[in-house]
Amino acid sequence: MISLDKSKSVSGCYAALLVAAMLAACASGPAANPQDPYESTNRRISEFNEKVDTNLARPVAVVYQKNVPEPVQIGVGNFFGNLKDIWSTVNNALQARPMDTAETGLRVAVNTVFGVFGLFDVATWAGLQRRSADFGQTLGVWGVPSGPYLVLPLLGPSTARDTVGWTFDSYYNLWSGVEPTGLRNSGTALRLVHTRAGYLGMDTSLNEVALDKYSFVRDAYLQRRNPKGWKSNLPFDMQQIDGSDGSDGSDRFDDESLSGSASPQAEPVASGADAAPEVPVVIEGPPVAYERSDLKELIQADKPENTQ
Amino acid sequence: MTSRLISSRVFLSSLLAGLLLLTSMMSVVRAEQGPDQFIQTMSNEILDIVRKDPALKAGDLQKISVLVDTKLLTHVNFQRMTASAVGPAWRQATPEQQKRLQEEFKMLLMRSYSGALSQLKDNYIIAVKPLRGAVTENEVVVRTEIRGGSEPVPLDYRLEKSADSNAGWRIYNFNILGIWMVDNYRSQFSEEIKAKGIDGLIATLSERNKSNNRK
Repeated sequence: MISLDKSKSVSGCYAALLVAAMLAACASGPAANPQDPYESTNRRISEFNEKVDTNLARPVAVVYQKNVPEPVQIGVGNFFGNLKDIWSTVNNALQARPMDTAETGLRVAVNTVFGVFGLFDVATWAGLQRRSADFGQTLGVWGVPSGPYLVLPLLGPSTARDTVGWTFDSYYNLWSGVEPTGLRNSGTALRLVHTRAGYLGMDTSLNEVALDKYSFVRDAYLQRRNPKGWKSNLPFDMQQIDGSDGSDGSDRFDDESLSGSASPQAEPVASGADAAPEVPVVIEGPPVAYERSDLKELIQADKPENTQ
Repeated sequence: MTSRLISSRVFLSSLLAGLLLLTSMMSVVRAEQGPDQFIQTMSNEILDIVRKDPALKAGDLQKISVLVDTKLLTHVNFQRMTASAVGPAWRQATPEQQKRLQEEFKMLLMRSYSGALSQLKDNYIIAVKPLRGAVTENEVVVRTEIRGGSEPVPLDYRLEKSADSNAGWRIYNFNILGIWMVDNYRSQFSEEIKAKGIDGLIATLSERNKSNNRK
């Protein structure tokens, strides 16, 4: 019933096209963000993607959400979610996350058996949460650097590493081996429409909260795909293993472009007593970690005027 | 594929045993008072209010603003949040500019907050994960999960110890889906400041907020 040969050539072609596109993009403009050397090309592809979304993907998703009965929509999401859980289980295992592997593996077993091939999500009801993992993350955990930020035509935000990861994800997606082709393609289309419908409430607000939507999405994507952040989701205390918490979100600024105008007391060392247990996210180039105490003093200094 | 997965009864029964073990492990919640307790109480309180008032979910900005001012901002060090988003340039800003930056940034974040509220369903719950290590430090990260959707949504808070607030803790950054929100504004803000200065950033923010309100 399932053969895995089908999607190979498709993703291979796609990868070749991408390489060609990236080579063509090499000559593009000034790079403000060291992780985004192809910014001008990326911006153009983003605009293209947005046009496709406004004119095709979004309208179809709206029709789907309005006209397809809700139980059917839930069933569609559960069915493809269950297939995805299988690959997530493999990746959780490859990332050495025992709890997540067990939880996702149990989900697959429970939903496939008691949930009629995944149509019903019995596992969530039983307290087993979905712990998604993909091969791009696995590569990240294994220490493969993310490479440059890329916006892929139709697929959206990615990095060099995640593009490689994506080709594996689609290769090992069990649905990509389903015969006949007609069923496979309409199933894939259904899955994409369903996924897009899930984001319908959120897409309008993105335009409102971002000053520059492109860099907002880019920064969010890069933060989300940084393996240092994933450690914070580990079920056991990773801190004691490698000495780092990995999550950021503290008052440290790594923006070297501003370091020139910063006050003289800013030094690239964190103070001993006040230092947070975190290691700042390292961006290429010499990062400058400002002392947190500087900022605190400043905040305290002007408190009387600014308390609300 | 399925027939192979469940080839034996032994496998199935061990699965069920594992399931029981897992669910019982996951329901262990810390009992003592602490930052995690504070986040749980605050989250439940806000969820309750939102459940009871459909206008909040419908995006009534007037009501959301009242909710934010009374229930949320009392627990937030918004000055520190803004300073962190603005970055090193905060030091060069005059007190007046700092005040304006805070006002405009608050308006902007309120937009995303109202967007988030509109996505809330009645069955959603906030599960606070166990803290790592002892709470002896002045700063702590509390990790939570919004459960009830197709996948749990991670929502983490970064807290500082605070003598001013009743709860003893104040939030100064939060992370949704792996994205620290304050950090995510940093490069956009610094681009604006580099191009047009602090007043330029204030102008851009206030322009964006005005155009949002016209919609």
